[in-house]
Amino acid sequence: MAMIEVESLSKAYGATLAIDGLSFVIEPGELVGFLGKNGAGKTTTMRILTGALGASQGTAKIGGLDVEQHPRQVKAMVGYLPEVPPLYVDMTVRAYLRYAARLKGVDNPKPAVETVIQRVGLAEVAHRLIGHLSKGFKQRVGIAQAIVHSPKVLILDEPLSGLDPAQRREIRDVVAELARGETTVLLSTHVLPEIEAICDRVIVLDQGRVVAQERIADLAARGGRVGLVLGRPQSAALDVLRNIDGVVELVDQGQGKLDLTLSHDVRAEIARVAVAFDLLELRSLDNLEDAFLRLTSTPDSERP
Amino acid sequence: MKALYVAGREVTALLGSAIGWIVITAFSLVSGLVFFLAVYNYADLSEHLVARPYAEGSLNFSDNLLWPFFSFQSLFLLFLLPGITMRLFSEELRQRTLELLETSPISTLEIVIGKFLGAMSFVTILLALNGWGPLYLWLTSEVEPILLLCGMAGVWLASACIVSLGMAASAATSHQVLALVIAEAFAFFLLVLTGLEQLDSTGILSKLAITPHLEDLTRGLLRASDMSYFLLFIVFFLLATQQRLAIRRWT
Repeated sequence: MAMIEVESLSKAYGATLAIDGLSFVIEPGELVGFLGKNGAGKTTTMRILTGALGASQGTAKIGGLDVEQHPRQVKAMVGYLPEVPPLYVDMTVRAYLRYAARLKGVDNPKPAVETVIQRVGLAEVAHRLIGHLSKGFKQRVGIAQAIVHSPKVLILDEPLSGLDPAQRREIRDVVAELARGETTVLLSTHVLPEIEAICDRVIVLDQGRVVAQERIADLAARGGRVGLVLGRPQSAALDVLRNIDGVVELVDQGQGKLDLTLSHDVRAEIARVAVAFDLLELRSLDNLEDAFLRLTSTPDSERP
Repeated sequence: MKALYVAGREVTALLGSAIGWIVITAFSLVSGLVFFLAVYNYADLSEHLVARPYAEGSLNFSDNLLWPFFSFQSLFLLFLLPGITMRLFSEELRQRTLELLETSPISTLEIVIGKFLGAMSFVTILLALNGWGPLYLWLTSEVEPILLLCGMAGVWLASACIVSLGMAASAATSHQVLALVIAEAFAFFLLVLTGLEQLDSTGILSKLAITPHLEDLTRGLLRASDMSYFLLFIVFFLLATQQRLAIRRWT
C-alpha cells in the first residue's frame, strides 16, 4: 500500500488555482524531492497532506486514510516542518519539545524528547530559550518537533532555506539518516544539489501541475543534452545521428566525443545507431538543475 | 486532555510575559487602593450616621462596600483583560506557530478551550492575589461569607466573559493592537448598554449588558437567568473563536 496517495487534488484561492488536479503516489520508505518554482503549489500540497488546509477537489491519503475524513489519525502519523518553523521563542528547547510531544499524543514524552534531542544534535542547547538560538539550531528544533512522535511520514517544507553550507549539510544528513529507517519523506527545497544527494525520486510541479515524477537520473536524461564516445567516429556516424528525429544539435568535440542536444528522450535510438560505430559511452550531460529549468521554463508572462 | 496541555503552555507564557506582570501589578495596586477607599468611605459614612441617628440614609455592606468594590474590579478588568487576551491567537498567527497546533492531532475546539482555560487560570491567580481584601472583611466583620463568595464569583464570571470576547477578537487578526482595540470597543459597548436602560423601552439592551447580572450576584442573588447569561455569553464567543479557526482551513 502506498504511504502517500494524492489523486486529482485541486485547491483554489478565490479565482486563483494554486494546484490543479495533482496526482502522485509515494511508497513507504521513499525519500522524494518536491520541486517547483515559488508559487508552483508545493506548500499548498504539503499543507493539505498535513490536514492544515482543506482541498477544493480530489483526495489525499496518508497510510490509506483520507486526510479529510480521518484528520486525527492522519495528523498522528505525519510530522511536518513548515517553511517557518512553528517555534515558541519564549520556551526552552526541552520544554517546547515536551509540549509538542504531548500535543502529538506521545504517551511518555520525556524519553521521546531526550532521544530526539540526541538524534538531531540539540543536547548542548536543550536548556536554552529558542529565541536565543542560531538559525541552524532553530531549524533543528523544527525538525525535532516534526519527528518527536516517530511519524510514518515526514513532510519538510524548505528545511534547508536560509542556512549556511555547513548547516545545510548537517540538516541534510539528519534527513537522510531519518529516511534510512522506515520513514517516508517528502522534502521541498530550492537547493537542487542537496536533493540530488539524498533523494530517490523527484516530483516536479509547475503552475500547480505535476510536470515530472521519476528517478533523478531518468529526469536528467529526459531530453536535454547527452554525451557520446564512439570507437570509430566516422563522418557517416555524424550524419546518421543528425538525422534521428529528436536530435536538435550535434557538436563534434574530437577524438570520438560527441555532444547531442535532444528535444525528447531518444537515447534508445541513439544507442542503436551508435553501436554500429563502436559505442563506448552514452551519458547524460544534464544535471538536475538543467532538467528542472527545462521543465519549469514557462515564462512568467504566460502564468495565470 | 490535550486542551490542558495548551492551557498549561498559555498560563506559563502569560506569567513569563511583561504584559502579564504589568496587568498583575496595575490591577493589584488599583484594586488595593479602591479597597482602602471603599472601607474608608464605609467607615466615614458609618460614623456620620452614628453621629446623626435621625438623619436619612441607610448603610449596608452590600450596597456601600461590596458592590462598589466588586463592580470597580469588574470594570477595571473589562479594560485590562483584553491586554492579556490580545496575544492568545494574534501572536500565534503573527509568529506562524499556530501551525504546530493545526497539524497536531487536536481539534480546534480543544485548542480554543485550552487557550480559554489558560487565560482563566491567569485570571484566577490574579484574583486570588487580590483576595486579601474580602478575606480581611471576613475576618474582621460579621459580613455573610456567601456575599463575599458571590461577589468574587461575579468578578470571575465577568472576567470569563471578557476573556472569551477578547479571545474571539484575537483569533480574528494577526495584529495584537487591533485585537486589543476590537475587544476594548466591544467591552465599552457592553458598558454603555447599561446607560441606555432609560432609553430602551423593550429592555432588550439592558438584558445584554453585563452590569445588571453582576449586580444581582454581588448582592448574593443566585439567579438562573444571570447564570444563563454568563454561560451563553462565554459559549457564544468560544464557538465564534472555534469557527474562525475552522474557517482558516478553507482560506
